[in-house]
Amino acid sequence: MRVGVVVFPGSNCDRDSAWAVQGVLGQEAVYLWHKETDLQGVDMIFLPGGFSYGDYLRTGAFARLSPIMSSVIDFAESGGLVLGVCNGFQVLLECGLLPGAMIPNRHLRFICREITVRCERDDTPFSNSLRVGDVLRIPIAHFEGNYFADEATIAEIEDNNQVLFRYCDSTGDVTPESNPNGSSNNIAGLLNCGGNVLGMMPHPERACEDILGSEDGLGVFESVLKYLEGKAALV
Amino acid sequence: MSIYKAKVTVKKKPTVADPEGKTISEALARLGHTEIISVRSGKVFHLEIEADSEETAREKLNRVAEDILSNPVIENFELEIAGDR
Repeated sequence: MRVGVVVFPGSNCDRDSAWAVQGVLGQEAVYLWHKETDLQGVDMIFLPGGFSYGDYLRTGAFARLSPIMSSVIDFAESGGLVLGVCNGFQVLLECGLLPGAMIPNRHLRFICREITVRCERDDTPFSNSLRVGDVLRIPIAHFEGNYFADEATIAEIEDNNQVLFRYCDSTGDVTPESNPNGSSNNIAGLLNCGGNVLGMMPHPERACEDILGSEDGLGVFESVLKYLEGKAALV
Repeated sequence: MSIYKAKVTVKKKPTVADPEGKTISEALARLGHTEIISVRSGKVFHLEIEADSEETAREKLNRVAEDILSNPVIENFELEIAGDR
């Protein structure tokens, strides 16, 4: 598979993300500069973490206006896979590919630590190598990861089974105490209705090797690979 | 064409949590300012706009505030135009 890692001014997880794809999985990663519009025939777009445009105005607010994002939106709307992590998730919310918005963490602290999330679906391109109920140890690192949407939108999200990951305790129970930032319904990872766009606050690319403390993030990348290979086999 | 000065105030919607406002309000109480009963944080933008009338200016600024300055999912805005400069 060929993954396009978008680089905005202020992105800082682009190298880690490319490493997970290339160094760990042995697949191809290309960097896509925010001023470009050519997606270079990639199979998946990765919007990495960081502080695009210094988080000016709102997180992700200016990244949305980059030339590359018009191409990314077209790609997503025609069914292409898009994975946004942390700031990438915030960009997906700002550009409307995912519903809702982020507000500052409940306790107004930047949180940088390993948390646990429960996998809610195993039938998506991002989770077909996982099982429902799997508990993944993946780090978070953010100040604005408190997911918010109005009641009607939350109800719609739940009806459509759009939640892929929820903050949980080490046994997989979704509790208020295991919610690090105050997110509505413990939402840590959210899909669009088509299931081809995923935004998540935890960093799977930082949990792909034992030396980093966890390999639980690898499942997300392996799922995408499996999905793409399955699709290629059908052609 | 005239130049109008405008102020756009962006506030979180009443239904959206405002941890910053809450923290400020708690700090004020600790400092003894118990008469302050609530604080909501927000942002203010000062703009100057060239337009042929105040009405056109208002129309354009409303669009700018909606499209860029605020996120309608979580925020409301108020627009004030100070008039011809």
